[in-house]
Amino acid sequence: MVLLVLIHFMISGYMHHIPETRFLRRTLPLSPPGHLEKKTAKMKLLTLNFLTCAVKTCKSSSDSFPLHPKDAELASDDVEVNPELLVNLLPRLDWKALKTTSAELGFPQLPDSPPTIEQLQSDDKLLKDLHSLLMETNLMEGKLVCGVCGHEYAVREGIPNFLLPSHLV
Amino acid sequence: MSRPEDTLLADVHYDDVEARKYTTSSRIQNIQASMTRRALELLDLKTPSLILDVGCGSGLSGEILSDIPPEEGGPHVWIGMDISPSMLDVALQRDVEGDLFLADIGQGVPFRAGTFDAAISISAIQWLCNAESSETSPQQRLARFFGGLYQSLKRGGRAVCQFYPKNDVQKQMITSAAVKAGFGAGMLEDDPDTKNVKVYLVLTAGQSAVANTKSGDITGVVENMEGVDVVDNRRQGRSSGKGEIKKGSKQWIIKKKEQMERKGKVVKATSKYTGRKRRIAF
Repeated sequence: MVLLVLIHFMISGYMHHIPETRFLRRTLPLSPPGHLEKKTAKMKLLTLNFLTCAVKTCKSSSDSFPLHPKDAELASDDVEVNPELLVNLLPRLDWKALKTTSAELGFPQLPDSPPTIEQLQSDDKLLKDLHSLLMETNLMEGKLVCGVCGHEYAVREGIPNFLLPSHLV
Repeated sequence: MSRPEDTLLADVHYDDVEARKYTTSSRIQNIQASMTRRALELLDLKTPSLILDVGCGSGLSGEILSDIPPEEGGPHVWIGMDISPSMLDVALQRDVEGDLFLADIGQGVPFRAGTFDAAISISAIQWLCNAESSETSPQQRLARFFGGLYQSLKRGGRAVCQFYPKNDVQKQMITSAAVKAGFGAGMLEDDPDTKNVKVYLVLTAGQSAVANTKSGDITGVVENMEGVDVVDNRRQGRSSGKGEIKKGSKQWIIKKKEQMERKGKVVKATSKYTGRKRRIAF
């Protein structure tokens, strides 16, 4: 009972900050993915960890990364676990950005520091959790907002539109 | 055969009808598949990697990347960029594995520094040479593309771009833009001097931290391949006097800043104060 109340509190507290975010998936994340409506295109949360603002003037600012999801609709997908790939990607992940993104999307707090490669290789549950967060959680609809210039990149059917008008290039 | 690049822009040329025609043609599918395999051979990836597919279109090449069996170092995860919404729509219907982006590669590559293990591009970058409008020129677009690509690749990463050059001028324009962006560049031609010639631009982004001595050089890419003749046209030795920049001079500082910018570091803008001495104070 207490746990339920806590979750409710967390989501409502979060909704207070960014009111327009909708949730398709209200199960506790980092647990085995529940099946939701399946669409074809998708944008993995992994991709969001690498994406920056494309506007020229934002290139020199560190706040242009990560992009902040707005009105986000999420979906989950079944992808085969590929431990080698995750081990390969782990050093390249920006853990701070991943923490920000997952907090903005209403997932529970990630630990402060990233797991080490040894931890990942030995801990099967950790591997599965990270896999479901990075590879199986997809952004379907919504907007990605730059923290510097405020440019909104629309995401439709899982495809973000990064075409810029020529004066911003 | 006529060249679609000469008449229209890529996003206009590949409308719904063209995109469907392109994707369902078994001849194009076969050619694309064999070129993708060749490009993968050149990339020489040993572990599952994150790959950028430039001009992914309907995902013909991406499909092959996702289908590499584990014993050959796959399956890879890829992120595709294309300017044609119709092509991406076909990719949607074909249910491809990778992430798709609607983006113009002539506007740069919107990923942070060191994102990708490798990049692949099949029959795309020749489109960059034809976008002529009052605001941009092919040179500018090429510079933005290769600059962005260089940044988004990890150090020691490789990119293979298959393209159809119209003539030697265009070939020259593309390679020099790549070299200017900082890449080590090489051109591989399959079936040279025939009608079926296929041109691959092979690029290396800096040297990997764990590189063995040979693979740092661009010729290391084709080291173990059979039937490849290496023709090295690079200038030998750079001690021609003119290129000497004095360490600590303004020119030297600007050069260093450009280098750092290419690596994706945050660099302060260059102004008239750059490299000036402070006035003497007691």
